[in-house]
Amino acid sequence: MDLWTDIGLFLATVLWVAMLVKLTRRWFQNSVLTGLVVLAFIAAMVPFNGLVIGSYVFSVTSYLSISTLLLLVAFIVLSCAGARCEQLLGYWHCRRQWRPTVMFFAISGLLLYPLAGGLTMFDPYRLGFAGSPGSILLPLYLMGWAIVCLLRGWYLLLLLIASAVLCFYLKILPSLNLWDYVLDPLVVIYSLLMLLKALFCKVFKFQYLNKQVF
Amino acid sequence: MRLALFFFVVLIFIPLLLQFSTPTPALAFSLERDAVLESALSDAPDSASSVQAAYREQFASSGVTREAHSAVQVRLSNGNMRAFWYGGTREGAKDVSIYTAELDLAVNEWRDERVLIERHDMSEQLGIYLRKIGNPVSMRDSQDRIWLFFVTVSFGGWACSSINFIVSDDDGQSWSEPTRLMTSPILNLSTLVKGEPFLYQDGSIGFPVYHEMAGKFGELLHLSREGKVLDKQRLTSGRSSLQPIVLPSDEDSALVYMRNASGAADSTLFETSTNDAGRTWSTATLSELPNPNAAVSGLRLTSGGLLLVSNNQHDNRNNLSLMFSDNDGQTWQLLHELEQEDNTPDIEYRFAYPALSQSADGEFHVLYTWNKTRIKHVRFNQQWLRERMESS
Repeated sequence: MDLWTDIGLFLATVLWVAMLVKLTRRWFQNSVLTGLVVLAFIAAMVPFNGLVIGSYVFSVTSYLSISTLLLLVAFIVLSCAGARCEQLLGYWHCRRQWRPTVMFFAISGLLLYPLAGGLTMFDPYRLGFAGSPGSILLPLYLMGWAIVCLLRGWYLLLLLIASAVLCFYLKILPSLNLWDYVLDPLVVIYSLLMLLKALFCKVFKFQYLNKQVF
Repeated sequence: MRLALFFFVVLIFIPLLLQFSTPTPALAFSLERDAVLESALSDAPDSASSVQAAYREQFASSGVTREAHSAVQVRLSNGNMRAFWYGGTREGAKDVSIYTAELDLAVNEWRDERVLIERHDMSEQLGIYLRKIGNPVSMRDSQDRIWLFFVTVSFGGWACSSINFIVSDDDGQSWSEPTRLMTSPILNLSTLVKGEPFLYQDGSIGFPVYHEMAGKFGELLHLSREGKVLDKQRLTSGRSSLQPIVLPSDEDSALVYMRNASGAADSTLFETSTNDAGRTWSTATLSELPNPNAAVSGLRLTSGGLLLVSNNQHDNRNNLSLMFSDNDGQTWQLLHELEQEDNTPDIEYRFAYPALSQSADGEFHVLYTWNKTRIKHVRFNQQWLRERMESS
């Protein structure tokens, strides 16, 4: 296995641990949850039928984007830290930060994925390769979002976009396509579900539960 | 604070804008053959008119597996050919492995048949679960390394395939660790292979692939010498074209043929072309060549003519023919039927997945799936080809 595979396994392991945290956090105190996270990381490295658990997750997800990685890590850390990071938690649960974030991933996903099925000759994924025809559009699109984030104070989204771009420079992933650093199907599906949920609550006059983002 | 953030944003986006606004250097198709073939052809005895026409056929696989499918071949530095195919109890079964064997040109014998890629081993090397292994394709690059690309599936059907490759710099005696190509935004799924890769003049690789999830369409990957995906472009769109083959004619021009999966009663091969080394491709049209939803293979002769091996009928695969065009695919003539059998209610003949190549002695070799049980090898020399052209 090469370095890229190790990075992919790490990303998949973070997803596996986040899923466990999501499923179990309501039953455990923060200190117990922290122990569980450590156990989950160790368990992910235990071989099963020739492969570690992270490998099975990696088989399905391939390389997660940097955005997803950061969101998952933040979720795990804040779930374990609890009230000790009250200020950060308040920021994390702030609807003002989350709405533009899920909007960005939902819109970007809708721009990218439907056309990936070959509906037309235009392939937006190709814009992620530097130097391909029209590829300037993708950094312009991202910079546009970054500037709006700056002006509107959407710092969570700004952090995610900036991190993706920086990791693209550093070639953290084996891909040379910028899209692969910015988003992946998991964060897009999550964002679309969150938007549907908000829409549903608005239409049916339910209170939008902005305190349970994940 | 906001001003500092503004400068930060400017700082990280300016290099990105510069990088993405700089067009990639123009490419040119490489028409140079690898050193092995070039040196051999320059003094090929076959070019002499005294050479007798020769057409021989045999099996390349020994039948150790119940099924064998999707063979490809590559030239070795000793002049011999090496074949790769996959075999097992049935297509997609867990016991399917990729096999290899070497053709000793001097005695016309296939030898050293062995398993090259086994599912469990490959799974451990790639660090992912593999459900099945599929089509291999091979090529020899400008540094005389042999590349073997092959598809793997972790879950679902062939539409969920991903591409991997291994490289050998000692003619297939030893191989590198496998590398997985990143080719698709949807969990890196649905990129498959059949057509042979080709070289650009800068040593980078053009790799015809296809997509099979929701739509079915041909694509062209541009790979660096190290195997990184530098670009990906569509050759077609829609739901019925796949398994492209690329046949360059000069440094800027190439023809592409694609299998037709439309299911139409009068289906023919799709074709598209470029005159600017692949920066743009013409709108795909239907050629005059019948195609029963089956893969084709071809090569361009030094004379500029085109040779194609295809199932020369609109349905069923009980025919496999050698076709020739001397006007860049505008018209085709049937040179020879490699296989022609009549199906009966009890027996359905299937001759498919041809791979046409030229060996170091200038002879031509066709490998193809023979009734899905064996890999058949047909070999003919240039004199035989000349005689067929004259008599057709």
